[in-house]
Amino acid sequence: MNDNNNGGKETAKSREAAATDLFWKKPNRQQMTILRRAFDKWSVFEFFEQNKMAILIKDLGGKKAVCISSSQVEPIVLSSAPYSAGMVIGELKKKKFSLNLQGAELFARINRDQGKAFQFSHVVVSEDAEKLVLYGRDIFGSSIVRATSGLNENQVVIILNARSEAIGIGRTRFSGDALQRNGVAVTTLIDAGHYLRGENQDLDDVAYKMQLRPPNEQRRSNS
Amino acid sequence: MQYVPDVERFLAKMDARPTHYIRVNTLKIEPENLAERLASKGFELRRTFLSEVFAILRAPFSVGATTEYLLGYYYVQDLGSCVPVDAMELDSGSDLVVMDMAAAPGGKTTFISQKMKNAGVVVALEPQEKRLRSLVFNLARCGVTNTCVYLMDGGRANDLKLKFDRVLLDAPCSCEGVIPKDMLRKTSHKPDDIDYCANRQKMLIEAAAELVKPGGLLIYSTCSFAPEENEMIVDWLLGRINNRAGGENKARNARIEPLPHGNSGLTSFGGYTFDDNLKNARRFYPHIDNTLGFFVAKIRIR
Repeated sequence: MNDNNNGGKETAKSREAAATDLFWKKPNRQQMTILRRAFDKWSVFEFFEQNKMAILIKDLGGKKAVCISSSQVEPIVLSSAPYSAGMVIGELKKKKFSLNLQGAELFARINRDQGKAFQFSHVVVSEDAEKLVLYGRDIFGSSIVRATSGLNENQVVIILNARSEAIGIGRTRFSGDALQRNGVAVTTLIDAGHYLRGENQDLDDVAYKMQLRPPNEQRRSNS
Repeated sequence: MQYVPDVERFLAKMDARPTHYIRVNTLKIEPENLAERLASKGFELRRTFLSEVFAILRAPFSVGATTEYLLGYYYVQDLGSCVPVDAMELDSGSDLVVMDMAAAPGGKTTFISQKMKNAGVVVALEPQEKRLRSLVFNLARCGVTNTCVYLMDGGRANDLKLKFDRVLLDAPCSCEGVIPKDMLRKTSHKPDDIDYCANRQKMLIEAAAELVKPGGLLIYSTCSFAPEENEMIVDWLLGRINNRAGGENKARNARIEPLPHGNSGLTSFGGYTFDDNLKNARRFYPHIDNTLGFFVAKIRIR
């Protein structure tokens, strides 16, 4: 929306308005339906209702980061285009919602506090494996204490420690019982330790990982 | 140095290894639970005068290498650095609108959010983009959801056209108080740096005062001992606000309210005499309070 009254030049206000329109929005009806279904499936919908949390979409071009915030934050964000607002919990892409690590950690905590089983596909790792995951290492089958039944090959899973705390996000290399055989069973896509390692790396790369699923080609194994 | 009590002990302490502290992130875990978990890993902690802050008496390995740290259960932060946020009276309601004018890397911002229980609004400013990313990372790590972050200098905060119940200005300074943690600062700064910082601090504190709603609080803090960056700046602001002529915009009034911990602020320095109200400001010394050097003034603006 450009203001062309000033000799055809954009005013600062119209540039700001355009930036706001581009970057921050409330979810539309379709997006809200996708998110409600996901939150309901993972037993966290009530949490957002009870805490009167707002949901905001940060449009980054092809990707849409999903942010949660306190309700008082929402009007300020929509009128002023901040660099960052609330907490990014995942992304919307091709009509699907995918959790990021912050979202996984939050949802795991909500389920834990409510005494509910974690509904998202997950693996639970041993204490020794926990330390390796937090250094970005992949997971051996022998380190998996338990897992959601019926996992498929190449499926995204949340990596939980023995306390049911989300410490990473991974992708399975095998399906079902084959997961707990010898060898690397889960590729660690992102872990809670990446932030410390990221301070010495390209911060744009780390920022991408914080908001969205990381690229599949960037992996490390502990073979 | 004549204003520093027991100078010889002060100088000895400035060369010694400081006590390290952690601040529990109560958005994610209770202090007792965290203490129990860290004790099981061999850490020895001691309570301080702030319920959320523990002193680390013994650490079998780096306190930044635990699962609990990576999950955002605590923040490594000096006790003195926590006092400005504790002074902000944030427990009073969930509808507060708060500004942190120089927020990165986020120690005080995350503490503000946890005090507010993730309700209300925190507006955090940082002028340097590289430092801004550290701020955003720390906010995410600590599970903060009530904060908006702007790439903006605090001097331009009025551009947001907002007024705030609380404003925190942890001003850029010479960082003398951090020398025990970073000995390079003994020689990396010159006396001219204090003059440069003082001019910037005046600009920022005046901008901060304009943002405060009537009856709100402005918390001014630095990690410096220099009166030129501390009492002189606050005294200058009190003079600007309290001595303004009336008119359509009635003169505002600013008073420094006392705090329960720390040492009284100076009321004179060199040839200067400050407003007597400066005695309510607080100084923290390594050799007296076992913290890094800090200065805090809690200013009520009506």
